[in-house]
Amino acid sequence: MNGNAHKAGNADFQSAAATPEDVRAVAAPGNARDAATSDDIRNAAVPEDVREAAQAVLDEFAGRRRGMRPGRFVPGPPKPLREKNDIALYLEKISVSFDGFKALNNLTLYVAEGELRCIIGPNGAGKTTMMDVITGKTRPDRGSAWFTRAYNLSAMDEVSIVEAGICRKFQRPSVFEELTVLHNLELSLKGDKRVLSTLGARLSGEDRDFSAAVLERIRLHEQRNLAAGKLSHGQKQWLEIGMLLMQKPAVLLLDEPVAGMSAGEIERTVELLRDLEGEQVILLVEHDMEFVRAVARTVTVLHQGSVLAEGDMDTIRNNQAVIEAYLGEAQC
Amino acid sequence: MAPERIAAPERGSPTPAEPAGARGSGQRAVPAVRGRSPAAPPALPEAMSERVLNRPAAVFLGCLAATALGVAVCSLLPAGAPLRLDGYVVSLLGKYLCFALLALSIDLIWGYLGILSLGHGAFFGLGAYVSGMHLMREIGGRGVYGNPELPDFMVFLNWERLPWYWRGSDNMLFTCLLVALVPGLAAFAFGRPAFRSRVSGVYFSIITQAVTFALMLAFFRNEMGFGGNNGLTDFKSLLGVSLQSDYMITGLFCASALALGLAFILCRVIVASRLGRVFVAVRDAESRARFIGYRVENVKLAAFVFSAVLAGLAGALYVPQVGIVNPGVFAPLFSVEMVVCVALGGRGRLYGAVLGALVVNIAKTFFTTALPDVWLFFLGALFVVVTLLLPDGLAGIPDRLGGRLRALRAKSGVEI
Ligand SMILES: Nc1ncnc2c1ncn2[C@@H]1O[C@H](COP(=O)(O)OP(=O)(O)OP(=O)(O)O)[C@@H](O)[C@H]1O
Ligand SMILES: [Mg+2]
Repeated sequence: MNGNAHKAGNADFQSAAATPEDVRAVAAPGNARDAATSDDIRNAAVPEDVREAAQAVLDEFAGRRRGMRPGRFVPGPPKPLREKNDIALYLEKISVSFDGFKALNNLTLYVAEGELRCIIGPNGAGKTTMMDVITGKTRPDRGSAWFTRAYNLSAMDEVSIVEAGICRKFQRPSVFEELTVLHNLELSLKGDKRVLSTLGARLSGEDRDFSAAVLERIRLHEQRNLAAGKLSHGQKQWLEIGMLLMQKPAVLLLDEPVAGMSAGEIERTVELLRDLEGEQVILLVEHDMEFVRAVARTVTVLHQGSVLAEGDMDTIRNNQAVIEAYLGEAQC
Repeated sequence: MAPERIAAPERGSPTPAEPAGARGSGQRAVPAVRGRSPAAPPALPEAMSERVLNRPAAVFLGCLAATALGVAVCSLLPAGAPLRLDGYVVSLLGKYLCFALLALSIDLIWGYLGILSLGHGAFFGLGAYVSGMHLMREIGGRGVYGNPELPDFMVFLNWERLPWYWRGSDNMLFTCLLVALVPGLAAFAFGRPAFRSRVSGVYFSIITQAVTFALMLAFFRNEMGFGGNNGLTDFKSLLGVSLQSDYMITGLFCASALALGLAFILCRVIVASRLGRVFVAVRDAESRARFIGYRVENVKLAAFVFSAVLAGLAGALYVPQVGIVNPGVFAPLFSVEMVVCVALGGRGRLYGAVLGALVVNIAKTFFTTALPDVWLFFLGALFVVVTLLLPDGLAGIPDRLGGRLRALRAKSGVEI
């Protein structure tokens, strides 16, 4: 597990190290290092990923040349391949396979700060696996995931990722059924979660107000002293979202939040999401197209582990490849 | 497909600055967390934490104190008085209290955290051996061979010197320290890798069985320096007072009751705190707990070590009252029996474990003297009956009866 994490963390270096060949192929004739410029590479007719890798190598060397002694290649800390200021989540060339079956296949996806991004795709497309990779539950075989440029997610453990501000709702609603709604929220409260601090933890007035606000927001104020197991399916989904809100997250990952909700509940969830929008990055996986339509601005379609299409809902709807992917699913 | 009445958002312009109430198809405003809504949400009147001494806990502690006091007084009555308790009976009761403490330690991790240790006897045994070593050293020159330095079994084995790990065992304070440290460190050394690599459920239980079995085999060996097969025995005195004297017997009994009471209160403090709720969270949805930021392995390790220390304390108090410790304490069967006690009493309540340990061990004393062959069958049958008929154990009976009664009342209310 750990060995894998390290490998994954350095994946961009491996690809960087493997690419001088590609660079030469692209930028021939002449010595690749001296002759190839960014423009040559940009103009050459090569696959996207080769081009990116080549660009990365060039950038790397440009960086080295400036600050370091010539002739010595000192690998710095790993970085995302493409760096941009307003990108919050970088998923780059991620592959995950289970016993040879590729759940994610060279998936590349960027999500901007403050964006609400919907991910759709037929069953088994790899949506949940993608969330597993972001939250550290599954280590990618290849590729890396970054949360801004500061956190290399593929080298962090689950709890550190949560501490960095990435919180997740599971596909199957998962709350602490024997505890009351209020206690569910209390446990989720952002703060020091080490053993001894938890033993002595008291709820401050501020925390109390915040809990009350979250309760109101997820509309469970009346049920706050009810065991979470007694809630309806939809209410459990809300409670789980509330538990995420308690952590004041920077990124919210919601895996099928409206599954099993009544029409009215869905409507209120739409409101809740629109209310949250802009406060944090939201990555939303959903099958319910009407719901997606109601909240989404940008939609990404996953199919067989990689991105099939990306754009607004209407573009996606009319995309031939997407229609085929969904039809193929229906015929199975 | 979802209904069409979900309003499509105003496309193109994400409007995070717009007040929350202005959006969302004319529904009532969703109160916002960051004070964006005019009306503050209603305050929470609840006290979040449970009381440490809730009613069952207070009742339990009251019963324990009353019983201990009664037994102590009766045991100190002059010989021949009608209510006088014999030293043998008092020691026996003290032994039950030690088993109760061990059961309590098992319930803390099994009932609340879902860690089923089938080898908790190992920590009990380690505490027992530490205390046994001190008692051995107190014998001094009064042993059969009269060697002031070496315990009898070492003289018998022709050993010249005390092994290094026996050093310091003549010191009472050092022994008290070791009683907590040895089981605690052992639990840490075993638990850390196990919890880190996320061994859990049945696999964990099996490994704990294997560990206690391995310890038993090790302690059987004479070369280990713990008396081999016979263990440590023939103790004479503690702190200079004969183990046979009434005061010592009563004192040890009271110490056991006190230890049980204090351990119970400590466990209640933990269970009633936020950490206790984290325990339940880990037990019921471990991965959810991890994904809201709790290092589950540390939570488990801390609980496991604390529980092992309690078990060690129980073992340490057990030895002077029964007068012997041998590798039998590491027998897997002993550990399993203790787990059965907890299941029988009702897990996840703390006092249930104590009740179960008392009931099972009193029954065991009766059967092993009256019908020794029947004991194991009886234990097995008891276990089956309880799991089938009383899933909450003996301690759950009042709740179930209460539930029945309420149901009956509700029913008759409807009929009238
Ligand atoms: N732990 C695992 N072991 C083996 N195969 C797995 C594992 N997890 C996921 N898979 C497989 O990987 C594929 C992608 O699964 P994933 O759960 O990511 O799909 P999904 O897009 O979330 O689908 P759904 O819409 O049904 O939730 C599926 O075919 C699944 O069977
Ligand atoms: Mg899924």
